[in-house]
Amino acid sequence: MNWIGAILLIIASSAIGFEKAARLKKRPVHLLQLKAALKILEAEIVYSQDLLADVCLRISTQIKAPINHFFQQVGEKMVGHDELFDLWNSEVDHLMNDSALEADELTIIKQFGQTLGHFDLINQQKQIELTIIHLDRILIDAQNKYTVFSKVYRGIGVLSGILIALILI
Amino acid sequence: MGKNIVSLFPEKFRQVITDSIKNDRDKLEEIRVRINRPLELVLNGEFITFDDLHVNEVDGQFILNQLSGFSRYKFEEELKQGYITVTGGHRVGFVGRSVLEKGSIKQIQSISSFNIRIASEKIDVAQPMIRSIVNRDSYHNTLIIGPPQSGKTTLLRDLCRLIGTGWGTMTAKKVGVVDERSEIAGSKNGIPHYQVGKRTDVLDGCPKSEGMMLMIRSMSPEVIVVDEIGSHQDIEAIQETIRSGVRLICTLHSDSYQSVLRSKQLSPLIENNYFNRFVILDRNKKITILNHQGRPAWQNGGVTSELDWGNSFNYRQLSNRI
Repeated sequence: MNWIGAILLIIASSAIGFEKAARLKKRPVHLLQLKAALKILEAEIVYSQDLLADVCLRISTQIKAPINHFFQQVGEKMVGHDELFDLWNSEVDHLMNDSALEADELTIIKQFGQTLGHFDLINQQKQIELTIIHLDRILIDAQNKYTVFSKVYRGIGVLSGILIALILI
Repeated sequence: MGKNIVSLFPEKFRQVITDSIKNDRDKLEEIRVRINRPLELVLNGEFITFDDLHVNEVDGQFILNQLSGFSRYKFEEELKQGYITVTGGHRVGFVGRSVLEKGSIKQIQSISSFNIRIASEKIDVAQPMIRSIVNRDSYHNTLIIGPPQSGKTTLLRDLCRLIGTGWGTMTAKKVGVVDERSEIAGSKNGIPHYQVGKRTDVLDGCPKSEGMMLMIRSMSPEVIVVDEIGSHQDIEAIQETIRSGVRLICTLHSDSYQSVLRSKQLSPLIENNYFNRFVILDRNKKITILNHQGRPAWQNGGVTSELDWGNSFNYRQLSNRI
């Protein structure tokens, strides 16, 4: 019986380690998607000058999951909503659960939401550019973290499982 | 008048507005909103205020957000001009604190008053008077003159529909509408909301002076329709349009033929006979049609022009023998 318990323990802790590593791997991917979405947002605002709701829905068809879901929700719920900022924040919180994005970048996106729709064309464009610069910084950081820590997390997962199993036996 | 106007307002106002216009939806002319003051509706020239329903700043912000769809970048020009046209061709004017740049208005901020002017579509309102602007198998160059709220745009819209669809023995003409403020056709995403005629093409949101030339170049219209001319460029474009042989029907903010004659900018248009017909409107929906010399055009064939503005409040039918 001890053996079965030990194996289960090792599997569980390895799974946690692998999951952590997978998140590290996904984070730069999601960041890139987010950046692409902002680029489209910028183009749509500057060149076609469409309504924000339409722009969000269009972005949602061009970007992959899970970021597309965020823009789809924002676009759909915007009509008839009192404040864009509230909607944006609550959807960013949902995005945190659905994606590998971390608090750092989500704070930046929230800050960006505060400015969205409040400025004229030139200033709106500046805000988007600023947000993209911040995201770029985080992106480099996230890629570094992935190369350095993904193997470490996997290793720690497996080894800590074995360690705990040994101690308990 | 539809749901989209009511949905501009915060929840607490919606019921009141819906209730008060339930019976006489067509009579609603304006909804006026002033921050920290009661809501006001204008029905048939008479106003009702709701003293227990004050509008606060948050409500004002809500209305502005709904108007702009949270997309202020899209409405830069409108915020400069002081109005936004919403779906259905309703024009929402606003004033507040203006932000200046080099002496001219850059944008209007901290908006303190909104005026929502309800556009009305009155089918066949132009039916009685259209005969008097017919010129053999085409139409005269016509200037429609009237003060605000006299029904210029409503009349123009119906003229557009009649000319573009054909009526009586007149065949349909190719009509080009240059709808700078989206009021004639009430377009949304370029598609007209109102009936503007079967053979009518609408250039939405384009400045009139450029738009008229573009229309002539690209759509070969027989009749061009524009609303609210006024600027120096407009006048030049009008002269060019009429010289190019296209018929033009346009409207102008003014109270009488005489005041147009007195205006330095506009009088050359009349003196040089650019227009052959003048349609004068007043706030009581009375219509007078003058010929190119400014005389009532009664000598031109004796067609009766009796106008019935359907649901207008005084039901004044004024017949002008033409």
